[in-house]
Amino acid sequence: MIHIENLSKTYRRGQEEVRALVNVSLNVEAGEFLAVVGPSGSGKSTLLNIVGLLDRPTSGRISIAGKPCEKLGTREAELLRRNTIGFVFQQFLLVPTMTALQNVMLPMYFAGDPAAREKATELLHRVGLGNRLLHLPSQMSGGEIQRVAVARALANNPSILLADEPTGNLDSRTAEDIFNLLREINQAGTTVIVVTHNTELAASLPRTITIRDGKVIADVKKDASAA
Amino acid sequence: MNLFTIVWDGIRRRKIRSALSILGITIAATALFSLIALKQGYEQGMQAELEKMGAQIVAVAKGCPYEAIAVIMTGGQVPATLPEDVVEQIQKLPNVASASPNVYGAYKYLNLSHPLIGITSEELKLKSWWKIQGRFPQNFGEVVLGSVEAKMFADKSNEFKGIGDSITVTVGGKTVPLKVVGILETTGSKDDYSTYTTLQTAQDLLNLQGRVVAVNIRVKDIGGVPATIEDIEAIPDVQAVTVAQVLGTIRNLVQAGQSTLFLVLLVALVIGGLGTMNTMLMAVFERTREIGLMKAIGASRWQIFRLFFSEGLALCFFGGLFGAGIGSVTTLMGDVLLKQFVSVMPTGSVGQLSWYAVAVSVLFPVGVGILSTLYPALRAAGLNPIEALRNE
Repeated sequence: MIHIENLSKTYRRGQEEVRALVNVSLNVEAGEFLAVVGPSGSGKSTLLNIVGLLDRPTSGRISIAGKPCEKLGTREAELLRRNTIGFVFQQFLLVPTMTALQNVMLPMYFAGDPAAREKATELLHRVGLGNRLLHLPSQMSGGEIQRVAVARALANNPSILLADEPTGNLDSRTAEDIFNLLREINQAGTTVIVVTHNTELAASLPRTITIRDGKVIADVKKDASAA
Repeated sequence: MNLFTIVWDGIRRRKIRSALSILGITIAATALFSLIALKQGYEQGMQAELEKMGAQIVAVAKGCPYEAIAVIMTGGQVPATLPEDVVEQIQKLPNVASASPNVYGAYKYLNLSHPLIGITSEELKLKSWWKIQGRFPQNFGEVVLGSVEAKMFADKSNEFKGIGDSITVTVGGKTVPLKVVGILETTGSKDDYSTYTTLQTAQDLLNLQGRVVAVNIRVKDIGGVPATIEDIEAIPDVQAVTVAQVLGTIRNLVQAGQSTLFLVLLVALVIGGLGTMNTMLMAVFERTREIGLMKAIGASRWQIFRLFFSEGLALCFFGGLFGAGIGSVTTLMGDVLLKQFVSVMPTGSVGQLSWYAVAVSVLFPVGVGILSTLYPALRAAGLNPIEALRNE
C-alpha cells in the first residue's frame, strides 16, 4: 500500500539546514496497524506529513496504492489526499463553532458529497458518540473530542488513517480508549499508522518502527502467535 | 452544509469586527445612495418647476440672467429692472404669442417675508392651468393668494378668514391693507407660496413705477426661439434666456457638484475597502491553523479561496444593502438637509427613491469588496498546510 524508497527530506530553518529524514526506506501493507516512535525532532511527524501528501520529499520515492507521489502536483495531491487519507491530530483541531455533526460533515462538504449528513451521523454512532451529534466541542470531554476527530478522519472513507500523537493531550485511560478505537477501525480494513510518544501503547500494536535523527533504526513486527 | 453556512459561521465568530467592517461600507453606501437619489429628484423637480413658469423665454435687464432667475425663484429683490414700454416692443415681435410683465418683491406679514408678484391678466395666458377662486385682481391693493399662503393666513391671522377679507402688511416701510379677492387653487409649484397683485400695485409699493423686473414670453413656434431671442436682445439693455437654457445650466452645475461629491465618496469607499481588506487579512491570520486543517481534511485551494472571498464579499454586499436602506431614509429627509445648502430648490419633495440609486450603492461596494478581498483570499488559499498547522 505504501512504498517508500531512499526518501530524504531536508529543509531550511533560517540559516540552518535541517535534515529531517535521511534515506528512509520502508513498506506498509494494506490493512497494517503500526506505530512510529522516536524522540522529539526525530523526524516522525515529517514522515507522517509526507505519507499524508501534505509535504513532498527532497529526494527518493514514495508511492501510495501503487501511485508514485514524490512529484505530485498540488491539485493531484489534494484529490488523492481527500479520497485516500484521513488525519487525526494531537490538538484535535475541531472547528469550535460547529457541532460534532457539522465537524464530521466538513470533509464531505469539500468532497461534494450529497449524503454528508447521513454518513456523518453513522460515523459518529460508530465511534460511540450518537448522543453528542449536536454538541459543540466546548461541551465535550477531551476523549469525546478526539473521537469526533477520528470520525471526521473517516469521513471520505479513506484507505489510510494517519494519527499524529493522537493521545498526547489525553489522560492514560482515555488514551487507551482511543487506541482501542483505532484498533477497531484497523480491524474493519483501514491501514492505520500512529505516531506516538507513548511507548507502552505503541507496544500493543503489531508493528513498531523506531526513528532517530531522521533514520529508521528499528522495525519490529510482533509474531502473530505472540500477539 | 453549504457555502453559506460556513461563510456565516466565519462572519459571526467575530461579530463586532464584522459589524464595524460593514458599518464603514454602509456609511459610504448611504452617502452614495442619497447623492444619486437626491440629484435625480432635484433635476426632475427643477424641470417641473421651470415648466410651471409657463414661459419659454424670460427677458430681464442686462446682467446675469441666471442670477435673475435664481433670485426670482427664491423670491428676492432683483437688482436691475426694465422700462415698462419694453413689454409692448416685445409683444410686437413676430413669433411672440404673449409677453407678460412681472414685478417681483416681498412684503412682511405675521413676522415673515412673503413673495409679492405684480402681474397683468396677460399672465393668465401663460399659466393656463391656473384656477382662481374668486377673481383676478383689477383694482389697486387687490391680491390673489397662493393656496399655501391662504391657508397659513387663515390659520394664523385674526383679520383674514376668506375671500373678501384684508391683510395689513408692511412693504417698503409703509403699512398697507391688501384686499384678498381670490385664492389660487393648488398648483404644486412656487405659485402656491406667492401673492399676486396688479402690476401698478406692485410697482407703487416697491417703488418701481414704470419699471418691470422680467417679461415672461410665450412664443408661437418653438422652432423660432433663437431668432426671437436675437430680436429681443436687439432692444437696448435687454437680455433673454430660454427656460431650457436655465435648466441646462442647472443640470451642468448639479453634474459638476455631483461629480465632485462622487469622487469624495469613491475615496470613502476605497477607505472602506481597505478596512475590509484589513478585516479579512486578520481573519486569515487568525484562522491559519484552521485553514491548514481544512486543507488536511480535503479542501482544495480553490475551495479555501472561495470561502474567504465569499466572506469578504458578503460583508461588502450587506454593507451596501444597509447603506441603500438607510440612504432611503436620509433621501426622504433630503429636502430638509438640502435646503440648508442649496439656494434654488424646487417646491415639493426632492427625495425620490430610485432603483438606479440602489443598484449603484450596492454594486460599488461589491466592486470594492471584490478588489479588497482578492488578496486575503489568495493568501489563505496559498498557505502551506504544514506550516499553517504548526501555527499557534
